Amino acid sequence: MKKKEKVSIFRNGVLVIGASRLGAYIAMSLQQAGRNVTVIDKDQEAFDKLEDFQGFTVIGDATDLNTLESNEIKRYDMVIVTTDDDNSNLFIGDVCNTIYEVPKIYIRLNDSDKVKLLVDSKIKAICPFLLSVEKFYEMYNE
Amino acid sequence: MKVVIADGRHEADYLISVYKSKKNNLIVINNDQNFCEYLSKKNRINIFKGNSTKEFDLRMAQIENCDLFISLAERDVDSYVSCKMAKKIFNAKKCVATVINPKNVELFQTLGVDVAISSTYLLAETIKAKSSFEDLIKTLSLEDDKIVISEVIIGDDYKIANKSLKEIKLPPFVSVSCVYRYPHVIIPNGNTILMPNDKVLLVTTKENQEKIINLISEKSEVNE
Repeated sequence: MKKKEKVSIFRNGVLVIGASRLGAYIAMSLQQAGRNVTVIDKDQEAFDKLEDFQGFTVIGDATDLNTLESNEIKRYDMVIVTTDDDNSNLFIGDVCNTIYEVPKIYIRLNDSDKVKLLVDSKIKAICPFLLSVEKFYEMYNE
Repeated sequence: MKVVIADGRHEADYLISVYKSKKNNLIVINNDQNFCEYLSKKNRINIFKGNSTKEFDLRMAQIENCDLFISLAERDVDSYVSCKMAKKIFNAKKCVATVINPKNVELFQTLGVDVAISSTYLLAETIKAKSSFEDLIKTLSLEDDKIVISEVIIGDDYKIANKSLKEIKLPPFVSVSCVYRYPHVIIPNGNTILMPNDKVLLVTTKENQEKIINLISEKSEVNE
């Protein structure tokens, strides 16, 4: 029995939710680096941004648990959430963390105030605003 | 009591009338300018126009330390984020979210929202509780609904359980056509005993269907 459990916890692969420009770029580059990548998006046309992409694409709404379950969310060791809606990203991030215990979760948040909601959580936020500020001061201090 | 009502349409309108009359400190936030004006005029209170998932707007509305935060947002993810914000940043004591997807009721509560309510879920639960057909699995209508075949599973607390058809004395307008007791199919006669968990196929007319199902599923009185 114990052996079986160990097999089921074995996680491999990257799940990108939301084929935005950032999501599509990350999916393509991780796949070129040799990772197994799956991309989920609500909109078929979003996948046009993926060039030379060999991984899986799935049309579905990731804010619905069924979509995550039917794509065997437990197979992935990394989830990157880059839909264009902050609230969806936060929700999906929390679901992947609390319910499915995905080890590495990265979400994009355009509203830098929402980063506060991730305090004490292992979810990491990518916040374009904060990155721009950081970059500005880096250049300013040069 | 400090109560915050965020977003929503007619639900918000109704909740305002409920909480206003109880002399609470009521804060209402809505993202729709026209609807804000409507609510404000109708209920004679100040409505704060803003996005309930933005920290800045919630701060302007002064929701800190509220006793009850109710989110009625149209999208489930928005309800979730505004409740989470109220709880984590503004120290709300209790958060209530309405959700569209019934599956999110349990999920929201696991994720830390105190109460999640889905109207679809409540509706289904109410129908389930009210329906006398709860143990009825399938109904098949024949000849323009004149004949119906219903499938009933015998519960072990049913009055008729463990009795033969002869003893049960079913009314004349029903015929027990088949009893399925895994793995056997039994064509019943008067001596056939209905056991708990038997699947029974009943042929009746449409008008008598409910009557006969109520009769069959009558619970036996508990003798203590």
